[in-house]
Amino acid sequence: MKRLKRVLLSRRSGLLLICAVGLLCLIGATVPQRSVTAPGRFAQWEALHPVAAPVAAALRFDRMYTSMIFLVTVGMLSIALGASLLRMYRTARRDAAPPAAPFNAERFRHFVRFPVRPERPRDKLLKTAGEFGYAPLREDGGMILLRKHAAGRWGATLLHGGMLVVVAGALATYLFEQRGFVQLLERDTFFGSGGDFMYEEHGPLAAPFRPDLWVSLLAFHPAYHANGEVKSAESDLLIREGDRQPEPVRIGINEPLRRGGVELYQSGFFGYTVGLRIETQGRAIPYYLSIDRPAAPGTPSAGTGGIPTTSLAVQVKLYPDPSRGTFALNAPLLEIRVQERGKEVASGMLAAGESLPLRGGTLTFSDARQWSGLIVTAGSFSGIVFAGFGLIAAGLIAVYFFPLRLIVVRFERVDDRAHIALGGIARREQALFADEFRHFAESIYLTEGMAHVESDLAAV
Amino acid sequence: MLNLTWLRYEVILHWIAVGMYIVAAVLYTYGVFFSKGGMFARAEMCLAAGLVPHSAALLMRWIEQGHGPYMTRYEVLSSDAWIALVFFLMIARRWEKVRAAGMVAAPAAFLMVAVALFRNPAMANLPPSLRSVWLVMHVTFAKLAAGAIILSLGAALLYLLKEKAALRKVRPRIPSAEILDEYSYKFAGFGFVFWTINIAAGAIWADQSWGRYWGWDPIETWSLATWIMYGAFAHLRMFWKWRGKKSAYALIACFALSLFTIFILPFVAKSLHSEYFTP
Repeated sequence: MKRLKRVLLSRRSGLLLICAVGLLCLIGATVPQRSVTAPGRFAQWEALHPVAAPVAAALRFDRMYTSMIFLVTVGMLSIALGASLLRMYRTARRDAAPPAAPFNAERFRHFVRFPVRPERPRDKLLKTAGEFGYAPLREDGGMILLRKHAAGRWGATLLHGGMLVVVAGALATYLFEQRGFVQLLERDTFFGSGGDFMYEEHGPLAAPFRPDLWVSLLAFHPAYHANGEVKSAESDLLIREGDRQPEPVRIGINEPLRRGGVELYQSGFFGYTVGLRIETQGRAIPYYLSIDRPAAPGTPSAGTGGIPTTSLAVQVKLYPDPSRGTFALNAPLLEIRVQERGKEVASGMLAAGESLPLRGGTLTFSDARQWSGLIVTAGSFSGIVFAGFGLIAAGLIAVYFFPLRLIVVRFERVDDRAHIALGGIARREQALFADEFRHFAESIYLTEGMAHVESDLAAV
Repeated sequence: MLNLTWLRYEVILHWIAVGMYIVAAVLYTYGVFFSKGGMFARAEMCLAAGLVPHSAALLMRWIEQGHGPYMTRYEVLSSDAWIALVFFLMIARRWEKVRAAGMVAAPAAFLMVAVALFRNPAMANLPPSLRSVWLVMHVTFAKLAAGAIILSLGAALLYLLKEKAALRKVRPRIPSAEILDEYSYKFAGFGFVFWTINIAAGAIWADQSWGRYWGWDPIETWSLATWIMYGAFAHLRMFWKWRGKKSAYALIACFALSLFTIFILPFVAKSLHSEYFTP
């Protein structure tokens, strides 16, 4: 058991797990993922790869990021991270004030000793140290401990801690997040029931998403560039949270709104809904057909659909092109063609409220309204994930921009002559530190040295 | 959406910059191979001189289209080169021993600008979801990461050059192998930091836009894999004492993966990112 624990928590296992997670990510990026690929495209990939697709499905590589192999690997990496975090913490504590003894060339990778003037040049030494960015940490008898980049020693601890926080936040989000997409018509209301969602998903430990929130779309305001591309999209909403008074708010893309633990995001998907009423053979069928916004300037919004409980299909074009800013919702024009089993049975151009004859009855164009896509979420632990990102970034900055460096200075008497000995400690960038240490020693030597002792400096 | 007068000036300014960068690359190479220290100063002057028309071209475009150079491949490549060079000049000023890495940074920059000039220079509107300060952070740090990674590659290549016994003439003009080895790791570390901030800023922006900080988009995932590879390299260096040639070759592999993620993947994979960089 102890051996297993030792193997699991070893650095070698940590490195292997890092590589394993990287490899699984690359497999996941190469094999189309069911959760993020459109069903049509996924089916196309399956058809094009008759051998690879079943293998990927059997190994769950097409659901890589929720597969057992991925979750277990990330879980094991987290345990290894926890173990390394403890090691890093202990090292950082130890580096805070390393013992100066024993003080000799064997202990320090960077070491030099040379004679100086008899009076102790403490102040000048500290001034020179300051010029190199070192500050005195401790003075003990004839010894001074100088330190540069104190924060650097916490870098690795912050980095590994941050990664654990990110993994914890991501896991909590996966387990508890609730999410849905609502296609809301102007003057219509979302009551928070399951049927109101166009799609809804929730984590394995979360209940089906039923937000305690009513949202009505009062008006939708798209704006377009001259070439017909979308410039902005904003929704005027009326929100009722529980028993509170309804509150009018406006949301736009990148300007989410949080109410009662639920977050609302303006989606970039929006379009128009054409209201039709078919009265034929004694039946009245209201029918709403959602159509996308125009594909290009100068073209109408277009769409097709089948009318439920009948064998009728409609093709519609809504005029004029709203991207030109001339679309007046109270006076739209609808070009409509009705087909039955591939044969055209009615067609015409209608203004709102107008009808055309159909199978002895009528087809009426009631109105055209805009619809706005809203993303509704709850239970995301994004704040924790971002805090983790912050720790990782802070840790990496500390590691690479502020590496910890220590210099121990000791005043000695050798053969009745005053000497100064310098010992340097750096965990990273030994060659760069050696360069700095040499310059530091040279500066001290030039200001306080008694004579040229080239061999001393050459030993640095 | 295409102001031809502005565009003409912009392209001319870009070509002037390319010319200056080519001269700088030649001077750096000459300086390294023929031990001419003064060449580095002249090469840096050429780079700085090239940055003037390059900056003017980018600024003109920024003013004309009303948003930063991060939409089309033309402007992405050009601004990547600009940031890489500014970053290099700042680093070369701070650590003089890195100057020889200009032999890699300058050709990389002129290649990026030249490739950009053969792309469609049409301006693109900024979609509403891209109007975010987090996008600016995301893009800026991606470019800084690219700059640091190029420098790291430069130091690693110079290390390998230094190690090659046959090229003895090269030795005097570039720092010691140990220093180059250390610098290649240091700049890879800087790239690692910038790459992290790039991923974090992208996640925050995605959360703000779509309520989801991670969507396993192919480029997102490759970006994470690249980050993991740099993490693995840092561990190999720290605990397995990978130094010298091993470290240099590992860095070249990391660079290849970053290059693939930043510049090649958007062309071949259907991704949220590639949809933005359309022309």
